[in-house]
Order: sequence, then C-alpha cells, then structure tokens
Amino acid sequence: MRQRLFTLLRAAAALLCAGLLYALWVRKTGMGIPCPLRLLTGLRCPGCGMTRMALCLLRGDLRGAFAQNRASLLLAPIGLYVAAAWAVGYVRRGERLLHGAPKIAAFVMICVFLAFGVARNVLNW
Amino acid sequence: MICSNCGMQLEDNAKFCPNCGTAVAQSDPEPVSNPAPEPSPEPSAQQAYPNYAAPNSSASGNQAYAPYTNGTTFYDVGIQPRDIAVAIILSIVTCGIYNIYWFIKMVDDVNRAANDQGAFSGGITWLLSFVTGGIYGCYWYYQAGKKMTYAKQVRNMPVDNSAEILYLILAIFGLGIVNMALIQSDLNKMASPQN
Repeated sequence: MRQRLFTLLRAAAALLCAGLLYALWVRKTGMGIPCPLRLLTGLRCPGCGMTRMALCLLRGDLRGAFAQNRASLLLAPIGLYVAAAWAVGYVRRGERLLHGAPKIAAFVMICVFLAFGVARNVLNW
Repeated sequence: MICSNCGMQLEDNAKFCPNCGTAVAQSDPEPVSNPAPEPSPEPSAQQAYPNYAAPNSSASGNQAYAPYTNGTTFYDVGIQPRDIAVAIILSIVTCGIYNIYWFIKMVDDVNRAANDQGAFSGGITWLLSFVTGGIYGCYWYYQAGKKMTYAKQVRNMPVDNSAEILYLILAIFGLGIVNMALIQSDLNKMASPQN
C-alpha cells in the first residue's frame, strides 16, 4: 500500500512537472500540440481548447477558460471525483478498475464529451 | 492473505493475485488439468496459430511467462486491467496522446494474452499504423480479433466467432476506439477472473 502510494505520488509529480513545462513552453513559443482531427477535417474535437483553457485557469481567468472549452471546465469537478475514487481504490486495494458511482460518473463524462463534440461544431460553441 | 510475489493484500478466497497474476498457493487447490483448449467446433487453436508458442512449452525461466509452466490455467502475468471509461476520458482530454499510450500497451497485452511472442510490439505496431495512415491499424485489429479468440479459447472463456470481422469493420469506419474498449474489456476479464 505504501509502495502504491509512492508510485502514484511519483506519477502525479511527474505529470504536474510535465504540465507546467508544457504551459511554459506554450506561453514562450505560442506552439501547442495540434489536434489531428482539426488539421484533417477542420472539425473541433471535444478536447480542442484544453491547453488554452488550462492556461486561462493558470491566470485565474475563469470566463476565458469557459469560452475555450466549456465542457471540460464544467466536467472538471466530476473528473476530480473520478480521479480521486480511482486513486483511493488503487492505493488501498491495488485496484485499477472503477466500481459503482465513480464508474457511472465516468460514463456520464464520456457521454457529455461526445455530445459536446457534436454541439460545439453545430452550434459553434 | 498476502501475495507471495508482489506482497499485495489479497481477499481470503482469491485464487490469483489481481495485481500480478500469480497463483495463490492454497491448502486445497482444485485439481487443474492440462491447460489445453476445450474441444470446440472450430479447428484447434494450436492448429490455427502454429506460430503461437503452446502455453505449456513456453520458455521456462522467463518471468513473464512463468505461470504457463506452473500447472495452473492462468496465463496472465503482465496483463494489467485498465478502466475503460477512465482511458477514454484521458484520451479525450489529452487530445489523443493517452490514446497512443493505451494502444501500445493494449497491443502488448493482446500479444501476451495470446502468447504470441513473435508479433510486433506495441510501439512498432503504432508506428506502422501511423506511417500507413491507419491501414496497418485496421489489419492489426483484424489480427487482434483472432488472437483474442485464441486467448479466450485457451482460457475456456466464451468466444465470439467473428470478432475479427467486427473489429475490421469498426476500424475501417474510424471507430478504432470502440475496438479498443471491446478488447480492453476482454483483457480486463483475463487479468482478474475474480471480478
């Protein structure tokens, strides 16, 4: 259990560092990872605007973040809940699968993301 | 009860460690026969896949395949369960980067499940798929359907007869992620038969 806690903390720290470095990189150079779907088809996928949203959040600009990718911002609390549930299950029991309410929440997130992917292209959100 | 291999806390009635797949030594183990596939209407899996190492004859001393040699019917060391919903969400919010990681891991797990030691690794498969504009990926899903059928046969799991056709059609229509969810769901069952 201790070992799994450390594994998770190490992964989280590495992810945080990578995220901050990426944010720094984008801010300095203005170059982000291009979305393959958008390059090929011009359509915006449900994940488009995530980087800009995160940068807005880092500045504390909630309104800007909402404009960039509203679904991600609204789903963020649910995402944190699912992540926390997964982390607790993993650290306590070494479980990598979700059960019960967090599982339902995760599938709701997917449905909302998919609906958002359609809506943002149709309604130009 | 504690797993003798990785030290994980196990439930009392666990037969296998859900973390590393090691068979749990029990005072009264149920008799396990030779892990040959059950007779099926289809030609024997061994016959259909001559280049797959037979579960019993795999390299001894290779830790990854150790359970093939210890007389149990559990072949799954190294297959890691992965929550499908979480994987899809991560794929979306990372603009597909997590999807690449997931695909690479899944290819390796499918090869492990079918004990196909000569197959391309996950990284190579992804690269081939990328440089061929996804065409190799479609072919790989077709292969994966066959490998998963074989993997299920040797585990006495129910088999979908034309999984490879379904995978191929879904892949051609750009729904590779559905394939990934289906394959991962099967892999999860193989990784933790207790659930």
